Amino acid sequence: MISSAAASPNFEGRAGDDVANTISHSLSQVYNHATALDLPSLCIVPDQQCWILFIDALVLQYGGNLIDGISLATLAALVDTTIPSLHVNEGEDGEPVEIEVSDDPSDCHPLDLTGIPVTVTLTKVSSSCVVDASVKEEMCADASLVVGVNRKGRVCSMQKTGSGSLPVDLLTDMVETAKTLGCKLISSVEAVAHQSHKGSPDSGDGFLVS
Amino acid sequence: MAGIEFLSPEGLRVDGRRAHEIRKVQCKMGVFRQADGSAIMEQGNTKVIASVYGPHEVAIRSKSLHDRAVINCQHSVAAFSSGERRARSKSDRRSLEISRMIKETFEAAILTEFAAKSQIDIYVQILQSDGGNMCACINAATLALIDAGIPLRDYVSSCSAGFVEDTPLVDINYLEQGASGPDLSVAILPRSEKVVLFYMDSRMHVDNLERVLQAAVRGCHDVFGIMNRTVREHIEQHVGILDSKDI
Repeated sequence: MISSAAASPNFEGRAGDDVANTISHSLSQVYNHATALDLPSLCIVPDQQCWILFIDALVLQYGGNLIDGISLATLAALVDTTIPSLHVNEGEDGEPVEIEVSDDPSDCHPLDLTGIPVTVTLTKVSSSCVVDASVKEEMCADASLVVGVNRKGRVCSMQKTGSGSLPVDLLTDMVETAKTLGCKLISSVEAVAHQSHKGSPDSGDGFLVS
Repeated sequence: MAGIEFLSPEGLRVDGRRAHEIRKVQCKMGVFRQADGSAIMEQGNTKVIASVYGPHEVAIRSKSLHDRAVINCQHSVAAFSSGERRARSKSDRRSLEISRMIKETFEAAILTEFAAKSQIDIYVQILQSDGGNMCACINAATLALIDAGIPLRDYVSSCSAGFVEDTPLVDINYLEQGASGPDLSVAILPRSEKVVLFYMDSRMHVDNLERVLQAAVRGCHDVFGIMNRTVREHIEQHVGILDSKDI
């Protein structure tokens, strides 16, 4: 994950790298999970060759709640991702020798995203809890809970961040809120991503130029 | 590169343009609310975002100048910007060099005497690279500076040029850059025809320099025309000045 200095002058140089590393680490804990992504489907030749999936996130504008924004963007990008079809040619002794990647751009398949989580961050500000904190709310926050939720409402990960503390009785409510919101977010993002995918892959206009 | 015809007998390049034609330019100002000025610039498939913050207090006191503003520039390339993913650090030597060149270009164009003891930050981010990256960065930065209301001597418009089969090619893309011919990047102040950036790191016979430079300068004027129109439309839309021909 990269924090562009364009997002905020606070992200120039080393400070930006610190924020990026923290968030990368948090998100890798959410995604590096057996049920999150169907990793066995990325295997080509067992113990020898496999696909590597790189997820690069670039923050252009900082308005608070980076982790949730990035996890939603990641979901949308993964919906758009396609893996080219391969053919493994085997040698004389049955050992795989050559891998042919299909040249046809339409000869590809999408990823299996049934278990993919999104994060919902709940931030404790004084005695109440807010979801999707803005910059000012984050500055007043005591602590936050980052909950990874998948489409079935199952909690995939939980991390407490921040230097304050969270009361135990509030935690259950926070997780319940996160579960409800997480499911809704996944279905909304997927609906929009599928729609624009079907739309026009190359409309000829720039993505920010409307 | 063998097998690629950079200039067909009919005079068409690999993407169907003529030798003197620049790529399709689309630009928009004021894309970010938080930055004082911002712009996105697309030249063909090359997409660049520029943000400007300032003038504000100098971050490092010792670097403050008593009679003019300090220009700070940071240039970064996204890992996903080129065909092959390449994670580049911000302090990569090439990035630092380009940052320095952009900074010096704008030191010549910004009226720094109007903001003494302060700092102006220019951040350029390359989102998609297909040749002419530095030129697109400079053009985007010009629009961002205008959006931020920073006084400039003139627009800074930039364009690249190459040379293939005795013909100068304007606004070369990534494929044409790899043709191992010259790759000249030029930035000018269009109204005074002054060169503020002149960069070439390839070989070219000095007899061809005049023609390639003229081609690049013509390209710069073409880009300037588009940027000027964009700025006027932006002002009409946001400020409501109906007669903006005096700007």
